[in-house]
Amino acid sequence: MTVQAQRHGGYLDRPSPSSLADVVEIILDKGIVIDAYIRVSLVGIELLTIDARIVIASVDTYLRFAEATNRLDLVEHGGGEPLPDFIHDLQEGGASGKVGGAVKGVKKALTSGDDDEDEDEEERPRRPRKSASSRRRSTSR
Amino acid sequence: MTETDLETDFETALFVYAVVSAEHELPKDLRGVDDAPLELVTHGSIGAVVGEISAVRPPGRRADLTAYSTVVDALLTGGAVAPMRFGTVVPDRETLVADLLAPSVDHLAQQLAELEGRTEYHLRVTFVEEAVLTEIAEADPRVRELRAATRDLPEDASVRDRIRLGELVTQSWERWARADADRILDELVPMVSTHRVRREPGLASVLDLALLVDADRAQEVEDHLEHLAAETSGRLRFRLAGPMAPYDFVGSG
Repeated sequence: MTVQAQRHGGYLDRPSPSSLADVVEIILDKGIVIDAYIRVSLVGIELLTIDARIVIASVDTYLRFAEATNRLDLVEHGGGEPLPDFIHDLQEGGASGKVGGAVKGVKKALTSGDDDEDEDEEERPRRPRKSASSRRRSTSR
Repeated sequence: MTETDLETDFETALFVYAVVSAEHELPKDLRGVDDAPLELVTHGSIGAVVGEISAVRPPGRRADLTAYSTVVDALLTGGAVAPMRFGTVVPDRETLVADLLAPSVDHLAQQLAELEGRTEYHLRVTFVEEAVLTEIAEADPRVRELRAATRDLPEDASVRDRIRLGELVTQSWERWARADADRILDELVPMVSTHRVRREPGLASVLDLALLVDADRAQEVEDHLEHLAAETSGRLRFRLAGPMAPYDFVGSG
């Protein structure tokens, strides 16, 4: 891709485009598709999508967030510190309260994961960190 | 003839990279998959950029994906580009014209006109996990209680509470992600030509968007995102890829 060199103050992350992970995320399953009946074939999709994983958010996700929450050192934050301005009133986002059971499936494709680590994924697809028992595999699409 | 005949009846085939204007000038020395030279096969006002590949080669190597992406993005210097889906292969030039270009020439020409002078970006906004978890814990007494109740217990003894804790945290997380996403979108949408949500706000990301931006507003969009990123640093991470070919804004031929 023709991503240009970083020219800003640096809060906005402008990733280096050459990483395979980025390329896959950008182009897989995109582009013009022509009707299937004509004599056209799509090569190469299988090998790439086999690397994709779909992880259904579940108890594992809850436990991961519980662990992450428990790792926080809240005491040092004083517990009553005012929240940053950017967080607006909870009312606005949370009034409905109808989120029960609505944890969405977390798609862990070949490219997903922490942004910081994308550069390392050139050759090896990321494996989900969850235990095998709760992982449901599927080729994406 | 069926699709499966393709693989046995032909030794070579044409890999189709993108549809462009018939006058599109291909970058010199640009090579594609298998290092093949590229060619523009035209029909009326449009053309397809193709390169020969072996029809009996093993499909879909990673290098092919990179080669495809390199070609499509390099084509951008010559004008509007409508990328074909990666892996599109036709047996020969006649088939390409008869089955791909001719039936869709008007539609594709119109699509190219819409893409002219526009470029795609991908924006991904994520929460800084520790910051947001801290906010959630501070905002919700139930989270603090469950945290206190589970923190120093062995995992086995507190599974039920830990699940409940995680459930509450993920619910808040998703709610906040949605609210932040809405706010950023409100600011961004008036600045862009079109946008497409690649992934709904949730645990994985606050925003995951493809943006189609007029080239003469690209700098404005980039500057605004830089401003937003600075304003929310420590809580949100902004990642912007592009400008790139409009992969997300071409439909079926």
